[in-house]
Amino acid sequence: MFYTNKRLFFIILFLLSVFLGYFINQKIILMGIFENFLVLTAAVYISIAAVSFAASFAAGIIIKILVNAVSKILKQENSYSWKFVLWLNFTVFCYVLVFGIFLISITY
Amino acid sequence: MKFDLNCKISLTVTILFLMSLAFCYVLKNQHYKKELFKFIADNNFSEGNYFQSSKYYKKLISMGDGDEDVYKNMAISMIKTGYYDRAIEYLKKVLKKDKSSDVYYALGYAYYQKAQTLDSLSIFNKAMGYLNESITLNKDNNLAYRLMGRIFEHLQKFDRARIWYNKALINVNDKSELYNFIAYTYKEEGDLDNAVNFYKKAIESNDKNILAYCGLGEIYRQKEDFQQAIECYNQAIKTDTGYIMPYYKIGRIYYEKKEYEKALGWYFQALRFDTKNNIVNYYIGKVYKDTNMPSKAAEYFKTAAYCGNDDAIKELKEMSER
Repeated sequence: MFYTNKRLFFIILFLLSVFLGYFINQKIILMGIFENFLVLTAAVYISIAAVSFAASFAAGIIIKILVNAVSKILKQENSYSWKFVLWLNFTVFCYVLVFGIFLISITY
Repeated sequence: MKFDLNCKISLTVTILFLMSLAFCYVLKNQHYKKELFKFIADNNFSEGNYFQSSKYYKKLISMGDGDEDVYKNMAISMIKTGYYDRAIEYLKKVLKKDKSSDVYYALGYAYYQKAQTLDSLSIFNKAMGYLNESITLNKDNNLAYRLMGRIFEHLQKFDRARIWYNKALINVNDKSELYNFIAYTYKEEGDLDNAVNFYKKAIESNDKNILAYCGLGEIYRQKEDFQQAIECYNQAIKTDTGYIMPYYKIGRIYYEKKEYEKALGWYFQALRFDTKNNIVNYYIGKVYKDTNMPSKAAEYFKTAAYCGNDDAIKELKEMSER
């Protein structure tokens, strides 16, 4: 996963969206939506980013609660980095979403 | 951008991810059989499920199994669902490999459908260009002649339309539809005698030609030969009892003769087939208006107006101004 280079990750996510857009286009042909490939790619990109952000935010909160609870039990200091966990979750969820959408788009 | 250890790990993970996607794709495609996809696509196409057929044709094309028939059927699926630009796109791809009369005709047809929607002269001209090419390659292409006639008819160039319809008549077995078109062009030009002749030819060619009976009925009504008109409309009803037009046309004849009860009788028979028909509702409103029943008239005018009848809207405005 992407630990530090956010710009590179977003470029790769965009390229993955283009890749997904090609397969989604085959399935949704004639539905009358997203006839423009760029618009479709942008929609895929924004959707994946938005859903992943929401999921990573929720996961981040759950992880923070769990870490706090464990730290209390073990009576240890909490060196939890909220930003790092959020970013890591975000990249993981992006990959998972891309994989899931890809599997659905190649299924007939 | 530093190409440090984090970056290397990130790129490696991404490459492995892409390889897993490729692996899944290959596995899935091996599972799918091209013959099965072709069968599903052709089946849906023949049953008229153009959305489904286009999905499978597109998949076949992406699997590298897109031959001329697949592209042609894909294009037709798109024409049928109104996506003329995409149909044209596919047909142009077919044209690169197959410069046959059928493909030129299909392109002409796609442009014609698009031109009708946009009412664009330049697109009609493009359609005619492809149809001419189709005719050059196959002088017996009756469909191309017929379509050329339809284009000129749409452009109100009725004499030129008739030239093409007459060319289409040469090799076709069932001439009744073409006689109908020719009769219509004469009717639009006001040459009612020739229109009658050709509608009669259409009926001789096919005595179940409901449009010819209705066309004749309309001409006799214009000539004020109401008896003949009603007879023709009755013939149309005998041919197809479920066709709404002859019922309200007869109703209209009685309305013009001021026989309002009979008119209403026929209008209500027409309403049985389509209670929201804006024309029939409008005519019923007119009868009630002429017989001094404004509230009933307004009721029917409102139904007609709601379904898009501009005359009914005008009537309602007039009634509200009073």
